[in-house]
Amino acid sequence: MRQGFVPPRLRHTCCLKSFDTLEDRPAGEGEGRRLKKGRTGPTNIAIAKAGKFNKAFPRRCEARWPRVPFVSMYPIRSSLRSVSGLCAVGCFVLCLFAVRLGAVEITEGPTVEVSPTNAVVRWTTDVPAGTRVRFGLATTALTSRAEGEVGTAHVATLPGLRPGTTYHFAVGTARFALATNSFATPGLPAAAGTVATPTPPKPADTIATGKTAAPAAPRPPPTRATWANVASLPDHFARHGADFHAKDADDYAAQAWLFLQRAKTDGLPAKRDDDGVLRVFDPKSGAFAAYNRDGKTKTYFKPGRRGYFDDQPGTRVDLRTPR
Amino acid sequence: MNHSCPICAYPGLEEPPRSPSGGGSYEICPCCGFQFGVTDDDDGVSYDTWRLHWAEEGMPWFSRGVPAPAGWDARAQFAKVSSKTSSPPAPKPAPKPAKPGPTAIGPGPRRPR
Repeated sequence: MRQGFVPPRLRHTCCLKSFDTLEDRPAGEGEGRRLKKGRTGPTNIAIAKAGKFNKAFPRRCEARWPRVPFVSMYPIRSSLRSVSGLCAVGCFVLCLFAVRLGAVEITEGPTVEVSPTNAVVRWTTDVPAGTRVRFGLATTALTSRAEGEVGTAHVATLPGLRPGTTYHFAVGTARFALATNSFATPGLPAAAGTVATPTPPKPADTIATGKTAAPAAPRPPPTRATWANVASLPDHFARHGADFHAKDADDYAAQAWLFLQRAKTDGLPAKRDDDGVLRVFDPKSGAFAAYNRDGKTKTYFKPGRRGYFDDQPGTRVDLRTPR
Repeated sequence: MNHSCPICAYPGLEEPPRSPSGGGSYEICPCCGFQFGVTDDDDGVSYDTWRLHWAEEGMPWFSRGVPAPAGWDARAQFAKVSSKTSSPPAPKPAPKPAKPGPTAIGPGPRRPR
């Protein structure tokens, strides 16, 4: 034994009885302990010093403690016996269950309330999780962040925004991004240097050449008038809304309706099958939509497979209104 | 008129999974989450694969907008799935385009359910 070394309280490995020195050990205690080769814990040191070596391993002790070779239980048991150690272990276990790493899902949102200089992002998750929003001017440059409380209802305020600017953001926890989207702050952007920012023309303005300016984009009707199966809209939005950076399900449905209007204006490739289902495809954006005979949207998404539209049934039709 | 999902046997689909013309209905089954015409035609996932994956996940109710029916029993419903159900036939190739002509889109006659 080293000079000055004070051994910890020696304990019977089987029954958690402890005693200060081998001499205090009651007669018969420790008789059945087995010297475990290679282990250098205090128990083995005590056994070796005492010269006690008994190959027999009492059934009583074996029944109480399962064999755990190569692992010394001493430091773990000693920490568990203290109150602070129990609290630390309990908090760790609670954190593991409360914040299921990599298993958090968004149940609602994210929705964004935008003003010229700030935005409030809200979303809900199925289990308590951290709140963090990373945002920036590009999807690859989400350099700013805003944080909130741990819970299932998440709210984060994004300050210091510029008017008339599009921001991209990702919501999630400190470790994971759960969803991405973008929004634009209202107002005109500030003039850069000496370059004057032209004001957008009013819809009824007549420019110098005498031609009428393009009419403003039509306002989408309510969702119940444009989406075929309103009950399924949340599922379609959850699956395909991110393709179009839709803010919410209503915005997603409105974009699908506007896509049909643009298909009529621009003459996008379209097919109509014998059941009256209209399928429209935009080769530039990769967007695809299907509409019922009455013009209500069935789905709106971006296929990942080339030739998807070509494989759809139906006869090619020209959607442009005849003059 | 309700139709059954060929994957999970949910009996509440609004439309048949595939129309007589061969195209998908684009409906998302609220039970298992399979979107006919997208999950199969675009993602290339077969009915059997999706069914197996859904069963391994514990057959959870998928939809966020359509609630599960009262007393819904996933196992009892899943037991009705025919073992012979397989992936749908490949969609018919697009026919040759007819002579071009403008076609106006209107409300059209209301389709009975």
